[in-house]
Amino acid sequence: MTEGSDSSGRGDETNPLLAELTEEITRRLQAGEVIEPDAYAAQHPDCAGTLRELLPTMEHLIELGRTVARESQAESHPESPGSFGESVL
Amino acid sequence: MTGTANIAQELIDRARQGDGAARQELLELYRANLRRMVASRLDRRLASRVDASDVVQETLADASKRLDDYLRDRPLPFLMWLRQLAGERVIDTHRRHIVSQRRSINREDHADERLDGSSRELIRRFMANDTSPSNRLSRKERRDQVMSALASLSARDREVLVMRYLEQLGAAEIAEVLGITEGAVKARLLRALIHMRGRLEGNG
Repeated sequence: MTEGSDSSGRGDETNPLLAELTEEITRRLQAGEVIEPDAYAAQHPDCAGTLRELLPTMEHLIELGRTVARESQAESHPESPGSFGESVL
Repeated sequence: MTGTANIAQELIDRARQGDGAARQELLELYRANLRRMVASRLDRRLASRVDASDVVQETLADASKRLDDYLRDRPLPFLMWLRQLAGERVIDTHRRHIVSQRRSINREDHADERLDGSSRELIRRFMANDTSPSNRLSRKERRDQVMSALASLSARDREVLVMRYLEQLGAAEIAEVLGITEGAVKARLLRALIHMRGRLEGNG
């Protein structure tokens, strides 16, 4: 795979294609899909290096998000919608 | 603009014309969103005393009282305004119950900074509470590293990552919260990820 760039370059921070691709990968990871970096590299060789570098960071954050969601669900209680008049509180 | 944001706009228009039902619907529209936000940021040590749903209910009651002023001035997008109120409630709840003797909360008027106050609470919460002996050390260490890296970021970077990855809001929803375009959210997320990666690698 051609490592076309790495995230140490300041230009990456303003690359709109890279922004779209990282968002797409985030959505897929959150949906439980397995990401194949080589597939992205083949389609977007100029972004390959940075995507490969950022993937573990995205995975760590998603794992943390799942932990937060699990703990929040465990703590939640049934709720019922109410009105907002002062009598409610 | 998301479909929900379009609905909110219609309800705002009707509420401004005095439609009471629209007013109730408007306040109800983001209850689940606020519930997710508050639940993910409320300290677990408060679980026996404070229910996230109660904090949301207090937020919505507060919003109801202030809604006339909001509808007249509309200084912020509606969801941003609601989340600011919820963020203030979370901070106040922690201050009342846990941190009142440790520090005061700086109440800046800037939206990012208000949101950031509760994202800091979220980070503190997980770093303080992950003490279960059943947790594998490597997993805890990795989570602590991620939390430390997140905490070391600028408020601007941290808040957008918290919303995208911990609250699991979509880019369109974050755009609505921050009052910026979806493209700007994606750009901000990319910058934040690059900075986060630098922190995790120890060279940021």
